[in-house]
Amino acid sequence: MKGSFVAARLEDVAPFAAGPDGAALQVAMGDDQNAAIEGLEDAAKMSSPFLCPDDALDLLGATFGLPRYPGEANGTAPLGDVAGTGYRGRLCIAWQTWRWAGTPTAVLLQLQTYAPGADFAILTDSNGTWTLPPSGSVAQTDVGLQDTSYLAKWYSRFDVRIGPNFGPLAVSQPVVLATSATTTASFTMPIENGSVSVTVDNSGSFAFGQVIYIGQAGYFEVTSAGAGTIVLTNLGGAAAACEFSGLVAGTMGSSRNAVAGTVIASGQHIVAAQYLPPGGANVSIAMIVGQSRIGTHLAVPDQREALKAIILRWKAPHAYAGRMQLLWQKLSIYPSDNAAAGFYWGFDYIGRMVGLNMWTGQTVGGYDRS
Amino acid sequence: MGLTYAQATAVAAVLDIEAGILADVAGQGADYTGYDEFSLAKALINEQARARNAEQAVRVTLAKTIDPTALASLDPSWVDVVLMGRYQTPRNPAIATVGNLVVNVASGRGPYTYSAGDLLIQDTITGAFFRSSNSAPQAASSSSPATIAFTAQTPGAASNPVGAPAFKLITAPPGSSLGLSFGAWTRTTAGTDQESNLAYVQRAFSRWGTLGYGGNIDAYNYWIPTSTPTVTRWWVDDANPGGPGTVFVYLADSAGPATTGEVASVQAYITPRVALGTAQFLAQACSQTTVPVAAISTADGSNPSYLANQGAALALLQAAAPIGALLDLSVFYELLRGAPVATIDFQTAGGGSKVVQINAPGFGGVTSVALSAPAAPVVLSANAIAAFSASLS
Repeated sequence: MKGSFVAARLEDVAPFAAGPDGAALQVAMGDDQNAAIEGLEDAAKMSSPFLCPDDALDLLGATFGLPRYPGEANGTAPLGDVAGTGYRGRLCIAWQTWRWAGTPTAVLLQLQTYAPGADFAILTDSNGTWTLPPSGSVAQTDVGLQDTSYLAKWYSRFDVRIGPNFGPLAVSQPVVLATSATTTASFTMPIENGSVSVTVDNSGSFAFGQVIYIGQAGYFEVTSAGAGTIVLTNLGGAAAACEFSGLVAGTMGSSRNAVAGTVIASGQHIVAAQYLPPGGANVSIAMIVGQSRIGTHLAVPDQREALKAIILRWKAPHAYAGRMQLLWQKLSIYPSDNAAAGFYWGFDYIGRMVGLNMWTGQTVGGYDRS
Repeated sequence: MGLTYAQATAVAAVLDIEAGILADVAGQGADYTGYDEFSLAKALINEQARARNAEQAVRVTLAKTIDPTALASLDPSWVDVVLMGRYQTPRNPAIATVGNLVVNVASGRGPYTYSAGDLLIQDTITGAFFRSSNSAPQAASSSSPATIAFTAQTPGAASNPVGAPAFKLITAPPGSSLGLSFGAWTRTTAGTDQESNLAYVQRAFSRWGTLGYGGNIDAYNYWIPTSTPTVTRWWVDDANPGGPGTVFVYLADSAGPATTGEVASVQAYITPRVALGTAQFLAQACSQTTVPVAAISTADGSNPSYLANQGAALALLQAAAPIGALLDLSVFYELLRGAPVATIDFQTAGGGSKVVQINAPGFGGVTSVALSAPAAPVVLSANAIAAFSASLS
């Protein structure tokens, strides 16, 4: 601010009005005028991310086309050689950010800002064999994950790979044995989505809607639990196995449920599907919150939508957003399994998988994955 | 930094400002509380408080220019100043309707030759006046009608002919007015209103996208209306609709699907700007879906023009509804009931939503509306706009 109205007023006021009361009046009115000038200066500076107050950042960010991501701190402006931080720091380099629009750099930069610490990579169709899961993996041997239609060359297509570190996109699940029981009689596998009554030694451990895993049989959802008997819905088909295969390993030898009609012998262990490797502490995996089935997924649907929106916003219009690949760590479902190292591929959400278009939220195996 | 945004956008009342000054005075040991309200000192304080109140209103406006919503609601002159200063892009002006009209001469009359400006005609439906604007003299005879370009006298969408327009002659050069009649009308340029605050703000903000090395969707949203201001609605299909690397855009103006000239203009502007590797960029006119609108209204008799007002409100909706819009029934009810509607937030089949300014002024006299068509929300295809076929009574 230039000068001071107080000083000017006291200097200019006529002597007859410069007594104690007069001087007080001049000072008060000068203070008020000084405040007016400061207020106008502050208002003019609102349009600068270097100078605006914190509560103006979101509005200013909207005019820059750079909305604040959830949890993004206000941060600081760059100062000399010291880079800015947080949202303010990002707005201060809006020009540089926008220069990258339409490039892989821009997509990665925005995704990494949205989910700091998570692993992101972009793979284009010219990268080679990325469209198939690793050779020999459960995922690859599962027909459901061999998206052969996707193998056709589409040079403008790209995938975004996420993981194995999901950062804030993951949900930590404690290793807790929520349910433990054993079947006490044989039963016959129903068709997919069909129901079956199973006698167990500990029916009190189960709750409606819970997803369980039965040895030699596969995944089921509990639809009712009575004395000594639970009624289950068969979740497993090839498509459902696509969701679950990332967590299936070892003893069962397959990621899919047993074929309908198979007689499952008595004495099978039943575990809650939320089991994670034995001996492990909390392990970060990504799951669909609110969806009780086991699986490795991005954390919540709206996060997936947010990621999708970021990718669509920052890609070049001629580039085709193919899929969002999840690279998750192989985990064991059964206590006797070894938590083998390695990674599985999962294909999720941007584009097609097994003939399904996840943009439109079509169902997989009769279950809405969206 | 002194003021927060919340503080900078608050105006203190005159009395509060006065009280603040008096408190400051008191803080310095002087007491003005006993002064006559008409004393010089109190008058000075009062005048300063009034001035400060006015100054704070300006400060609020200045601060709110960073709020996209508030900015769009400011006086257009403020919007022009802010967006020109920050984005270096001017507001698109109003554009006059231009079209070709077949001019027939009755048997036994003519032949006549008309130069630009010779003919003044009126659209009997909209009341809009058009003057001939042909670039070269055109001869018309009873055996050979002329096709003459006409330009609306008043720029803006209100001059766009609707339905099957009928024109009548207002003036013609002496000796060349007898036996004239007018045939088919072909639009070449859609009359377009001056770009609204909201559309201007949205377009200016999207200019960020043009900075990108690769360009992104924002760049297309800036390029299209900037290259061809009469194109007021568009949808960018960036999901490789024509195979790998392809981008299609669908275009409409305020009167309907984009004209050939508008499509060519967009194509020519964007083609040299697309990222290398774009297999095909194709601009094309959108399709148009006829949407019947049938409603029976109950009126209180205070507004004899309510049916015309309803038709005008629907015309505003038709001109502004985005390509692929979901037309909710509540929109029809609001407009037909005469509610003033400034903006509408449409969901679109192409994804996301779009807020558009329609500025329906509202009207009175309608007490209830029974809408029989559409019977359900109208879901247009992603590349279509609506053309209403109205039956109002």
